[in-house]
Amino acid sequence: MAEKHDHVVSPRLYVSVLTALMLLLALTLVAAFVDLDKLLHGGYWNMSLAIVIAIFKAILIILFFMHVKYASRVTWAFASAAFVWLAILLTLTFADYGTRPTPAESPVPSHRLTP
Amino acid sequence: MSEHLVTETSPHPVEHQFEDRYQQKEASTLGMWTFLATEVLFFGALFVSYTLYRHQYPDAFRQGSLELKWYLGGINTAVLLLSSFCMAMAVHAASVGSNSGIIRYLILTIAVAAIFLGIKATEYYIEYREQLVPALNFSLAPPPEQQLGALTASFGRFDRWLATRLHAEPLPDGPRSPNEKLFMLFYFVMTAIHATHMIIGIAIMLVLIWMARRGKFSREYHNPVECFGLYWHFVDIVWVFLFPALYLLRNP
Repeated sequence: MAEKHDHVVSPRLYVSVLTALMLLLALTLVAAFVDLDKLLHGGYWNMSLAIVIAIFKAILIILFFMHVKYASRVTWAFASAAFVWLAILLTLTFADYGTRPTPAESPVPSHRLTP
Repeated sequence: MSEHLVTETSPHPVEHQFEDRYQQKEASTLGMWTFLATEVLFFGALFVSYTLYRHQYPDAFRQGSLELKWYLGGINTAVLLLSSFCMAMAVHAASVGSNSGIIRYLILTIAVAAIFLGIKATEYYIEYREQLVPALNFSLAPPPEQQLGALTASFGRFDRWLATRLHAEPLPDGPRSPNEKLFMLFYFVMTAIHATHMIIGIAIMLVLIWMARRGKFSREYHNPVECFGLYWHFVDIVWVFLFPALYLLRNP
């Protein structure tokens, strides 16, 4: 059911969200120039951190700029559905590729894309 | 029923299939989110294939990323976040029923979006001069500096200066890796599709400005502005993921 009132978000909240987004952007840049993988001995730390920060930014934009925080539960369901489908796309594709032989063992020559 | 009184006096009567203006507004919001779900999957497919090839050719992707001007991409990220903020303010103006506020903030959003596209176009030009564009002029041997033109050459010098200052890895000399072409292909396809979304967005904003000038929106009815806001913020989110994925592959 649609809610029977108008929710007006205050501009001050938008300013706070913009500030948070800018700080996260600065963090993205700092994180990119520090070699975390070397610092923490291997792994995909740089990539993982970049993805986590991007997800945080996206959540801020979706909740506040896109008003999902104040939206009805049906809107929540529709907005989540987009990302549920994305999760299915990611899971199935990576489950497939992740269980194949690694490129080095692959029978396909690694330079098949040479121009 | 106070809300019925409100809808009767508003210039936009509720369409007959809806109970009231709240249900009408929710219907448009849900429709917009359904469209955005298709957009999420559209860009999602590109990100999935990007990830698979990046996993397969990590060095070529990193070298390709070093060719890009990360600081221009970073400025553009800030510019785009700012345009999203202006859009949020336009929706706020709409929700308090100010057509002049809508016009003011939409013009601001367009101006900021134009800055983004201008910087993006400059980047494309530099990459063209550096012969990085697949199917057009991608070359394994980077062109010598005297062939680059003044602008591109000065950006190249700035790059090297910045890399020394930040103790960051500079772009290696010598020929490019063959698979770098694949990275550049992802870069151009993804950023060009993103830019196309922005250009379409600017066209829609011009229509919204025209509607607001004719006083089409009110505190009770501003669904087009609200729904367009969702689209614009979504385009911003796509860039939030594109920026680190394309520009910031600094570490092996």
